[in-house]
Amino acid sequence: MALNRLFSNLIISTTTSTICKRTLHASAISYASKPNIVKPKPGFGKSYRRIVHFPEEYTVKPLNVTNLAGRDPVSGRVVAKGIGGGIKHKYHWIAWVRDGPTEGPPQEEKVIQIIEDGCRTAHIALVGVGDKLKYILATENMKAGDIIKTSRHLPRIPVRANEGDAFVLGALPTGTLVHCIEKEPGQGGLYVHAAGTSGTILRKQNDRIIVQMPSKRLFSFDQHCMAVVGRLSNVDHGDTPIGSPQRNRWLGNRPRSGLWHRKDGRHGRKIRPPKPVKEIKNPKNFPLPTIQLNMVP
Amino acid sequence: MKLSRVLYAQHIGFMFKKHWVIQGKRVPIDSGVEQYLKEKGINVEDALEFVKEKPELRERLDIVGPYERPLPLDQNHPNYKEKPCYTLSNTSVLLEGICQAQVLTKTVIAEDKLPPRIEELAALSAPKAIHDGVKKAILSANVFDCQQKKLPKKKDLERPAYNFPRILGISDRRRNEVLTNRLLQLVEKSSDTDVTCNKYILNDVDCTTLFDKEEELIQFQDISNILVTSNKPLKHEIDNEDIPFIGIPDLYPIKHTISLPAQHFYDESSKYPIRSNISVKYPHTTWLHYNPTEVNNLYEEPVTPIQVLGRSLTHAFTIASAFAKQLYGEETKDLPEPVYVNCIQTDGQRFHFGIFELNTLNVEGTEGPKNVWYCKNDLKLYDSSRYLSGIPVLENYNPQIYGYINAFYNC
Repeated sequence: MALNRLFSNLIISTTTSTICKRTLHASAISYASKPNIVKPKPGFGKSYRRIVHFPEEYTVKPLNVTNLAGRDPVSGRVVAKGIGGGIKHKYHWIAWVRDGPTEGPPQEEKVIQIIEDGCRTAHIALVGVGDKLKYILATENMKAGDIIKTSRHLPRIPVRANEGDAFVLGALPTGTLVHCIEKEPGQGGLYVHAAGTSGTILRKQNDRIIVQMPSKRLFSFDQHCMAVVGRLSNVDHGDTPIGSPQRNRWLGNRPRSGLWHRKDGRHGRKIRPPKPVKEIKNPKNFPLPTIQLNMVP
Repeated sequence: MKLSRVLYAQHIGFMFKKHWVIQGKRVPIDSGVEQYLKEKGINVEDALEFVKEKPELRERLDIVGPYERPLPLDQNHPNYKEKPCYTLSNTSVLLEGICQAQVLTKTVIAEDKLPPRIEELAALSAPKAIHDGVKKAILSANVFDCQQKKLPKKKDLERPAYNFPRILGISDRRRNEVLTNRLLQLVEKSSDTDVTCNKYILNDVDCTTLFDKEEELIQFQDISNILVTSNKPLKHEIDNEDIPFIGIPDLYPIKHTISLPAQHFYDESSKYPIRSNISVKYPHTTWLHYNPTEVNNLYEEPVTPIQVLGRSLTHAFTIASAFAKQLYGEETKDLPEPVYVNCIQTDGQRFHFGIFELNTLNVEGTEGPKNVWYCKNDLKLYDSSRYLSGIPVLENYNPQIYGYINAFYNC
């Protein structure tokens, strides 16, 4: 990974393992007389834009947020360039886990209102079921007063699902557009959250379902993972240009500089063979913690 | 001095340091011994942890300080009650508004229908002097008051980042108080002494009612901004046969306790603001103010008109049921005689009139005797009242409203 190697032939290389290579990466800067600074790098879901102050229990009340402006909260140093300022939006805590009964008729929920959220591109829906209110990501044609269903039951025949309903991947027919797909059953929807996006169920292979992501990459999910049917709301978001540099500042992006040639170097289009289908599951083996040897006895 | 002499110099210590920093980070190879031993049931401990000294356990001392420390509000508090009580307060609003209020209070609604006596009294036209007085009252509440408080920020949706200069003016609470008190004073002045001598007017009184619905305790805590009481019970004669009632709706999949937060600290009995040995205790009319800055939703979205109307229904129910419980006892279910309460809700501009007929305190299910809510909603008193190029202006005054307020007072 991104560790500087000064004289790599002097180092005993670590054995390559089947451990998942996606871990947080850090970069070390070492000068002659300055202390060694280890800063984290943005990526893999962490964007250093804001910290949300979550209470202990789930609540529908919008939560307070502190903006980070690209700084790492631990070291206080700038980690992601080009982030800062912008309008502060309160965070609506979305209930990512859409739980339903494992047997019997699906649980019905009522959509009360569709709200625009400042912290994401898609709209959110305020949904009420029984005693509880919660937020979920709104789909394209959702409106106030709709009834949506959730069920964890895996039937023999695929279910005819409407937009906004949440079923297990094994229960949906091939060709359905889905979003908010879980990684492991019960973990909460992690994939496909952006406005107007959706994944497509392509085929079923043994006990896994192969879904095409919005980036056209193929992922294989466990058939008991929940997914919500339909395309996400705010479909025109991808087609609307930002419009002005000031609007970009309102979104929290600081001015960028840099010579950019559309078709040169790393910005040009690449032709590559398609990657193989990736199995999505939580990693089981984790590497042991690194031991830091130092000169001080 | 030649630059090259300085550049070529090397410091062996710096090189050592850099090597140590990088090569000192080693990830141990997992040989699987720990996992194997754990499966066999043998306890594996880290040597460095084993060698560390265990922290000394010290007992907690309760220091006697200058005052008693307040106990945290959790299960161990002496006033904590196991059974939660779902509470609706003056500043919170029901999610489904009037539909949910109907289910909670087992009420049917007669939309736009007030008793014929009220309509007769309202049709009587008042002299011009009275309408002038009403216009003066509106202007004094909206324009001529000298309170200066920060009003809510003005936002432009096209330019979300622009901060408008902050406006200082009359707060909505003050405006509603001044307007309603002045209107009531006008009504009192133009009524006969035998009506006014029997009525008391109270400002800002608390009223709480606690009832049971489907094994759950529900509590309404309300503040009546103006409560007009009289020394004999209010009676209305209404013919119930021809009225198309709006029945109790089915809120599936929502339960009737949604958006009512559960509290574990509450009083076990209802509270009516007047003692029972006072002669003028019978509630006549209650005025409820809707202040947009104080009343809001749990989820901080704008309050819808349906939610505002639901508020007046629950308020009338609170007053009526608290009084009925004081008269007939806490545990009565069906009342021998219905209790009537008039209710006027206003936000300064819009007036919602209603009459609540309390027939039963048993709010279980949808069968049996039901309570009735006769209402006339959304009557505008004026279109706008403000300074227009330096001149105080009142646009589109509606004289009907005074008629209804007078009718409500005199019936």
